[in-house]
Amino acid sequence: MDIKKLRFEMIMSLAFMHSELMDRVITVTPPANKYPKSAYADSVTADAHIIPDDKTACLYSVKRVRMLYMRLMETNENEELQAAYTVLTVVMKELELPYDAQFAITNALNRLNAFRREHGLAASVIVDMPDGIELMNAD
Amino acid sequence: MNIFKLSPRQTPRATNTIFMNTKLFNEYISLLASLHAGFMSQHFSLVAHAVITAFEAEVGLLGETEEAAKYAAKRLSDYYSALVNNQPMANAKLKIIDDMMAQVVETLEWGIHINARLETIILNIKTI
Repeated sequence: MDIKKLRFEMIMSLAFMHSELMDRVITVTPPANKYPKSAYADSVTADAHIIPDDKTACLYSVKRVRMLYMRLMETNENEELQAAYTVLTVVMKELELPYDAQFAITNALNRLNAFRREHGLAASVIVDMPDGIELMNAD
Repeated sequence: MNIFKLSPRQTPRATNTIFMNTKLFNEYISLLASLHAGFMSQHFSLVAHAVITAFEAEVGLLGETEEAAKYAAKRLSDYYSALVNNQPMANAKLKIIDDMMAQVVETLEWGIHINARLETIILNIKTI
């Protein structure tokens, strides 16, 4: 798959995972529900799309969401949050290895999709690439 | 203004929120969100308001705490550092924001009262 599409799909997968997970976590940690669910996904994708290097963009996004979960876990014992933190740690470590970007991002995407499947998060999403191409997530 | 003087309305809620001045905290978060939105709206199709909402929603998950203040600063500092290190062209504005965010992160580590730290940061950002 084209590296740009792969990168886009990986970041979208993370963004959807994050937004759905926050939707669940928020129900047990009010009162942050005044914002639309999409805001959490937007905060991941908007930042990442500007970073030119594909691997750096993916790594930055994962690190950032992981950092947020690390802080949330200090006051929230939600098991899904802890599981997400663990998977993001693995993904982050793998992305930090000097692997080829295509291989590293594919791995990251597979791990995130597997997590989403295991935790009953939406298995597939239809998203619009910035250039207008419609793309169905691999799983 | 005595920055160490506490308003009678402030009540301790948790260990890391004791004596946090809500007004100062909100001003600090709004300032960071606006700064980020200003940059993002120049480079991305999202409108500034959407960026501000996304940023505030995310930080809002951590409540009005010192940890949230630190997270907000670290998140932007990491982001602008990643951009500075990946930008194909030299971008002076980007470098200024990156340096400023690094300073904000550093200021938040000072061993003085959180309200004093927030006031210092707000003043520094406004004067740049």
